[in-house]
Amino acid sequence: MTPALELHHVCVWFRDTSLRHRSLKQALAHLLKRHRPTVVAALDGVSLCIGEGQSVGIIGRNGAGKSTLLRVLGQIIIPNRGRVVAHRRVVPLLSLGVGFHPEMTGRENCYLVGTLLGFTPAQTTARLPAIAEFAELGEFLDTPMKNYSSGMYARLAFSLVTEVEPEILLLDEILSVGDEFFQRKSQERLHQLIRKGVTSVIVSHNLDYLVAQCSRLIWLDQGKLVADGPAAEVARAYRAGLGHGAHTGA
Amino acid sequence: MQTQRLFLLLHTRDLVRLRFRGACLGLAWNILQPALYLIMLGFVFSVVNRSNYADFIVYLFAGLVPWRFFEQACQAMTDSIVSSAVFTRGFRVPYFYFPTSELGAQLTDFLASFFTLLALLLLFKTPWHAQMLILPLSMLVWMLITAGAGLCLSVVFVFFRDIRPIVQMGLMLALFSSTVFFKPETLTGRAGHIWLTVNPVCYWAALFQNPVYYGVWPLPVDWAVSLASAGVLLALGTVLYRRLRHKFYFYF
Repeated sequence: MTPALELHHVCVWFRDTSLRHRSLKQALAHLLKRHRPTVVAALDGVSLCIGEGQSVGIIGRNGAGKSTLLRVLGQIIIPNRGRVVAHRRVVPLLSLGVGFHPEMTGRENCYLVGTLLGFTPAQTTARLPAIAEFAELGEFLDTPMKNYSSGMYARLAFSLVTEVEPEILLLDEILSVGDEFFQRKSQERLHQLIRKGVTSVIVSHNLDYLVAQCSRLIWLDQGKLVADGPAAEVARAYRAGLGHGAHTGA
Repeated sequence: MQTQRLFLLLHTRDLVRLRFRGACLGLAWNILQPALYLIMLGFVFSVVNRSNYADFIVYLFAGLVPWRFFEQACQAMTDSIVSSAVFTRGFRVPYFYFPTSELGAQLTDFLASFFTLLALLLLFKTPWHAQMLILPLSMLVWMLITAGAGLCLSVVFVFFRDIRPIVQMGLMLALFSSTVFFKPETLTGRAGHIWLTVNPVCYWAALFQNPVYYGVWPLPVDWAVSLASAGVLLALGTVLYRRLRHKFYFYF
């Protein structure tokens, strides 16, 4: 297996204070009260290797660290400890409303985000008709994105990231957004990319979808890797584990 | 990734475009706003100080042009990392690109103010001095000082969102207590002399005021203090950024 993405003993932790206070006033108050912040481990010593062309699903309960893992793979979160190695170009599609400037038009955002995905403005210009056609935005392409509906947002995001020839695609529940027609259309495009050999890592709570879509599942619980193996096998163990209440994720 | 550098350029351009999008004069406001601000401020202060308008406005402009750039850029850079969350939560992009883009966008104001200053010199028939050829170098030093201060503020703002009024107050105090606002000869006595010696902003201001108003070269000590200020601020900003950047994501 030729590795596309590697994680070596990755740890990500944050202080609970980051969730609560972000002001000098509150920080001083905590200092005076001698409050000791609690450190929360979002990922705890996770190591894995994802091969080229693999389609991998990530499962786990809320707060298990799935989205954090995806963001570490996309090198959006810098781990406190450990190493991430990406051998191919990673294209993340993580959540709605993220990645686009709301004051800018869809077209302007395509050029701007295109550069983050490895495309020059000339390359984006060449692909813009295809992006616009798939997204079905029509004249809204030149409207500020703050006026877009969630469906329009998702269509443009999905259209852009799948049009820029991703080598590794990271998806976080994004396909559950939009109308049924768009969901079918985007899933069809995703199938095409996987058939072409694009490596994909998908986070979803829809276990049946992941079993159908992925050859391998990674099960996380409280930031730790519980199981990693063939999709059907891990899904069965996960269901059995949930049924027995073995996992106490948040 | 090479195209990520293109992002920096495009984002800077978009910041300039977005500032006055929808306004009746559009991009022209980028030039008009700083020019009108300086003319009004010069007029008000010359009346308050009961000084010769033409003489005082040239003095004031020589200090205010770089100061306004510093002040505006510091304020814009302060929340730049936090505002960048729309991009940085979705894609891999270095956080320092965002304060840098804001600095770049504010350069348009700086240049517009600078050309307003040159226009005023023509208007008031003030002599142009050969020493003004040094001004591009003075601008560069001001940019370095601003980059350092802005980087520090942008990092600190991620963790302490209530520092904005403190920053504004600090900038106002720095303006009104330095030779940007008053002529050094008006400050007499030992205390005044000590203040002019220890206040670094007076040295920064001299990089513009000496060539434009006094027609002399900035003194070696002006360059030394200004460059040292830039060095200290840039080093502090870089250390803060490198040590804390892995925490930014959790504070958005």
